[in-house]
Amino acid sequence: MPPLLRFLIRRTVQAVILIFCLATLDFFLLHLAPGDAADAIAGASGTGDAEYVANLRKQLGLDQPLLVQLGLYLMRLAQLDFGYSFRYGESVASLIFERMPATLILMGASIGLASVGGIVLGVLSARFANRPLDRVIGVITLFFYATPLFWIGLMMILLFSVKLGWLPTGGMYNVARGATGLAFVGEVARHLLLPALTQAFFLLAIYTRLVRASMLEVYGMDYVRLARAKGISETRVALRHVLRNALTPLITMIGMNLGTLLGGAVLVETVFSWPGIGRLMFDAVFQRDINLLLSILVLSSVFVIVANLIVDLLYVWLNPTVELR
Amino acid sequence: MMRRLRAMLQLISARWALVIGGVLLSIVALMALSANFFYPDDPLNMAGQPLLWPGQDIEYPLGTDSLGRDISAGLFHGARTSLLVGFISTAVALLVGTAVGAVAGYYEGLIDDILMRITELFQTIPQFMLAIVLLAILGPSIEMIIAALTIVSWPVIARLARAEFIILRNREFVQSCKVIGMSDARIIMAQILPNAAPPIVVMSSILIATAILMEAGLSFLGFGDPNVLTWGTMIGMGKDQLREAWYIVVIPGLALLVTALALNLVGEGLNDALNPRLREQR
Amino acid sequence: MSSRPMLLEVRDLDVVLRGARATPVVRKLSFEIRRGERLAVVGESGCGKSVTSLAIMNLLPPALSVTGGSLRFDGTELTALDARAMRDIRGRRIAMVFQEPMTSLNPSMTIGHQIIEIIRAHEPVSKAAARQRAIELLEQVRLPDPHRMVDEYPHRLSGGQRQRVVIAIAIACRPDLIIADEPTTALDVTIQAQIMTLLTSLQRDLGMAIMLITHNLGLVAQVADRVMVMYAGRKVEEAAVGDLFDQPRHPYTRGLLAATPRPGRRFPDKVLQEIPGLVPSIYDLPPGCAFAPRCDLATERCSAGEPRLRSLGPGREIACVLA
Repeated sequence: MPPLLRFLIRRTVQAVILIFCLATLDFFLLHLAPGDAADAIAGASGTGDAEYVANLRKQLGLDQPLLVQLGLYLMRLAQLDFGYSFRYGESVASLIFERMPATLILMGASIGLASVGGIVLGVLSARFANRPLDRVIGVITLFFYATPLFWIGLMMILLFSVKLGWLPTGGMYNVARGATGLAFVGEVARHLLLPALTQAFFLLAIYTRLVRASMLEVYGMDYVRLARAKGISETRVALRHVLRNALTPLITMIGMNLGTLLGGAVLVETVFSWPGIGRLMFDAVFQRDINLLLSILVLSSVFVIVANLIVDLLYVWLNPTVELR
Repeated sequence: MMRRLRAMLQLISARWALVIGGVLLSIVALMALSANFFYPDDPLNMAGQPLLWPGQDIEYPLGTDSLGRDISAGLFHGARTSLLVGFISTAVALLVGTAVGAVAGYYEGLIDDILMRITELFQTIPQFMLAIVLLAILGPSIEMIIAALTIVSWPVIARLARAEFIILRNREFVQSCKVIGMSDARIIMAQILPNAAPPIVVMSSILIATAILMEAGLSFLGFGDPNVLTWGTMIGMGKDQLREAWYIVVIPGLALLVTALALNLVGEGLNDALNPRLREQR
Repeated sequence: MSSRPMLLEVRDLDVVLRGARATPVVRKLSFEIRRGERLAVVGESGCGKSVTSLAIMNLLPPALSVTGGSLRFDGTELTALDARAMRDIRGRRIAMVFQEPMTSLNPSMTIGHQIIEIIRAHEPVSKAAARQRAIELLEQVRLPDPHRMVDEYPHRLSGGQRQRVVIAIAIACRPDLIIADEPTTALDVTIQAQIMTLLTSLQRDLGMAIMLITHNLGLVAQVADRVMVMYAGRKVEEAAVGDLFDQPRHPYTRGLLAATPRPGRRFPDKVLQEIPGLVPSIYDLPPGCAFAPRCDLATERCSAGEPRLRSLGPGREIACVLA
């Protein structure tokens, strides 16, 4: 069996075990909530159908020993049955999957902006290491790292929407405009800019520092000296020999940050009224919908696990020296 | 005298991060400590005319919010809460995390595997989301916030502690302790831990900042303790007045920024101070 | 031999280490290499031999800089060249082989691409043609299975194999001069012999000049025509290889030879003799002859002033007041 396939299988098994543990944790958290699990799942908002709740109790086997309950619960989850939301009038699973794309777009845009910025600033910092430009960039990134996310968001709204009126204050697109096609994409982009930037600042600080350290380390490597001794252009040295090898840690870092990004999404989506799962979670808290909360938590974690698996594969592809263990 | 002054200036410029961070942090700490002295009343109480701008009324130098609450009172009391929440949650996370990491790194094998799986589980769950869920289940009180933040922060420390212990346990000084029959507990506590401490200490500073920012985020969203006014709550309450009375949002936000910045600077300064010695040891 | 055309002329080279005080690392170094000639530069670590080679290639790290002297390569003054002109020379006319094969190759590029890269940097050939050349070069450096090797990544190769690749890269554009800086020091002894044999046969076949930098006098005997001995940044002796081994004049050279095991040579006590003391730090050079503190023939004159380099005949120089 080729090593890549073996690696893939092993990591997938690990991911499945992790998801299994996650679901078990979810089960226990559900039981921590006040009332019994059926109440929690049907939503404490009181609009639960009595027959539905009674059915649920039977399905969950609430009179059965704990382990049986766990088993039944896990089977439900495996079938992607996260319950039904009476408030929204649809199954929780479909509710979450509907909102996911918006959050993914936001995350993607943030990572994209932060990566480009991080590479540019990181390369500059490394090139002029310990000189004034490097120190200035260092101070700026420190500020970005230390500033509260939601506050930056509000400041951005204050500056760009309220005072300057350049960009909209919230939402994903203007329903009244009814734009379609390319115009629609433009609309979304306009609404996307501020929230994506808000999340990007924090990431930018991390990525810049990482790229800088990575570049400095690679610049000192023997193979860079040999590359120069070949008489190739300095640009090619910088891009093909230095940057290419300095970027692999960035890929890993992006994977590691996904959990933080999702957490930040709750704040950013609330500030900017962006219709993603972060906003959904915010609403769920005030609706006291424990089941929805837990479902979002579980699905977000699953997303992080799967995304990390993809990142690992990407890393191996980029860095052939890694022995697939 | 001049020489001593010059030596002092040199020391300060070499350790400028530590100095600036320390100074800023002290200011915030002073605010926290003097909160009850300057502002003995509950900052959540109405104090004066609502929506006063900073400087409009001497009695309320930083203005008032939409319900007439004194912003500077909120600033001082918020300092107390933020620092308390940050320090306590990080301290407990340190204890738990270091213990888990030490055991995992020292004993390796099955224990290491199990403990690391648990740590990994907590690290894949988005921290902030987990905190929100915990608060929703356990109820929004300051104690629960501290508990939630602790639960969310300990895995990072555990990872770091484990890495340090793995490196150190194979050092000769540990082997020689084993040979003379020293107990595992003593080796861990008295021998390895002091050497593993520096990077953990550096990380704690940054973790306190993260905890404070997370608490602010939770309070901002309205998930915080309704009976306690924190900087995050102030910003949350002020966001509807962003257009006309933006100072309500800006002032506590700056306070958060300064506090987090100070803690990060202290962390960096400690890193610079402790690291060269570390490198020599290794 | 002296009828061969001049290739590299180094005159009064000064290289300095930046810092609180500018510390000289190479002091007034002068030597020549003619076309097809094989010069060995010998000395202990820190004597400035590697720095010299990097200075010639203009690859000095930022802390070091050339502060004086001339480097004439085939009539062109290297120190006056701009970056572009220097890049034209590097790889195409002067090539380098470094000491650490394990870290000399880019881990994320295939062997083939790393060879193709240098070919296409200097010659207008297509990728396919360059790839074909790369395969031929891998054959020339006696790597097994070149057709497969060309698509391999460096981490799959042993140290000896990687060094062969580095040599392939060095000869790819048929340079006039190859500078080999301790090319075998990091390799096992048996592999060392193989690599040195490869280098010598390639040198013979392609007619390049070689500047071999080493601290191992044993290698010098088989590979060099002339030897230059350096100590503390200066040349202290230069001779044809036979002359140096038969009649070493400088006490340091004699010390090095006495400390080198060689089959067939008889030692007074059948014991290797080491040179007492340590190489002086460049920050703390003794007054006068830098070797005097370790030299058992030293007199007061030796510490009075630095001995000048004297010529004892064609191609024979020495910097010692006693020789």
